[in-house]
Amino acid sequence: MRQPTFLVLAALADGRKHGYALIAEASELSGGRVRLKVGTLYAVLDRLSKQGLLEDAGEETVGGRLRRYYRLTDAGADRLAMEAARLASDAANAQARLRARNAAKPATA
Amino acid sequence: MLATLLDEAEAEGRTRPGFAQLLNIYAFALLERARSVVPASVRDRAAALAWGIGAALATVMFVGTEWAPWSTGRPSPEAGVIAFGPFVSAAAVILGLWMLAFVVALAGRARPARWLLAATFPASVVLVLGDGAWWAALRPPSSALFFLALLALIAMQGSPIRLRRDRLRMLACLVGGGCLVVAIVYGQLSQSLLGDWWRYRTVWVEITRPLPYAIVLLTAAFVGLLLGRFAWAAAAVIACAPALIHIIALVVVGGGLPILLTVLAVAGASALVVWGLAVGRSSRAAASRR
Repeated sequence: MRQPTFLVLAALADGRKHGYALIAEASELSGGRVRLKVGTLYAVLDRLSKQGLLEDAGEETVGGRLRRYYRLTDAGADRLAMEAARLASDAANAQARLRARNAAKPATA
Repeated sequence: MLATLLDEAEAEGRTRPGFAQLLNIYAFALLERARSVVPASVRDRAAALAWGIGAALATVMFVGTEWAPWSTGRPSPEAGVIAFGPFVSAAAVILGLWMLAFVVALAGRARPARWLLAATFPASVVLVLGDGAWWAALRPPSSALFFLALLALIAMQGSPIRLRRDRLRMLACLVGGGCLVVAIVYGQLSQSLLGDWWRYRTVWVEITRPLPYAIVLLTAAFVGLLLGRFAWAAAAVIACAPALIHIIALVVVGGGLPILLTVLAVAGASALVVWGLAVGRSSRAAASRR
C-alpha cells in the first residue's frame, strides 16, 4: 500500500472527513512530510471507494461550499489495521537489527 | 473537489492555483478520463505491447547504432561531428532510459519506471532543440523520437506488474516486439548499415517507418478478434496509435494519401468491430445476470 493511500485511510480512522480535512490530516499524520495534492487525493478516494474500503458519508454546504464527506467501511478499517500491523512489524524488525548491530560494535576506549 | 481546492487556497492564502496544483489536476483529470473510456484489461495489454515494442526498438538501436561495439568508425571533430562519449549520439541516454524503465517495470516498480519513461520526454526535447544550436552532433529524426514518446505514453498507462502472468505477458511482448524490429532490420535494411554512423539517420528512418508496425498490430487485432480475444484486439488497435499518427504526419508532410486512407479505414473498422463485439458481450453478460 502506498503512503498516500495509507494516510487517507488512517485519517478516516476516527470518523468521517471531507476533502480538505483529509489533506490537512494526512500532513499532520506524516509530520508535514506528505502534502497530498487535490488531484492525487481524489484519485485515491475514487480507487478506495471502488475497492469498498471507504464510502460517501453525506454532503454539507459550509460557507457556500459543498463538502462531501467520506468514512471508512469495515473492510477499510480491517485493511488499515493489517497495513498498520505490517508497518509496525517491519519497524520492530528494523529496530531489532539496529540494536544487534550496535551491540556487536566493539566498545571504544 | 472544487470546495477542497478553495479550502486549500484559502488555507494557503492563495488567490489562484499554483503551477504544481494545475499540473496535478490536469494529469489526474486526463488519466481518469482515459481510464473511464478504456477498461483496465485493455489498458494493461496495450501498455504491455507498447513496452515490448518500445523496449525492443530501444535495445536494437542502442546496441546496433549508438554503441555498435563491432564498428571501428566513430564520429570525430575532423568529420565535423562529435560523438557522445562511447556512443554515437546523446540519444543513447533516451534508449538507456527506455531499457532501464522496462527492467524496473518488470520488477514491479511501476512508479520509478514511469518516471524513467517520463524523463525521455524532456531528453527528447533537449536533443531536438539542441540540434545545431549547441553542438555538432547526430540525433535520431524527430519523428522517431515522437514515435518512442507515444509508445512511452501508452506504456505509462498500465497497472503495476504484480503477478507472474503479467511479467510473462510483458516478456512475451518484448520478444514479439524484438522479432518485429529485427524483421524490419532484415527486411528494410542492409545489416551492414548497423554501426555505420555515416548512415545513422537512414537507419533510424528505416527502422521507425510506421507501416510495418501498423500492419503487424492491425493483423494482431484481427487475429485477436477471430480467436475471441477482444481485450487483446482492442489493445493492439490502441498500441497501433503511434504508428497511425506517424503515418498521418508523414502524409501531411509528404503526400501518400491512399496509404493513409487504407490504414485509417482498417484501423477504424478494427476499432468499430472490437467496440461492437465488446458492447454485445457486455450486454449479453448483463442479460444473463438479470
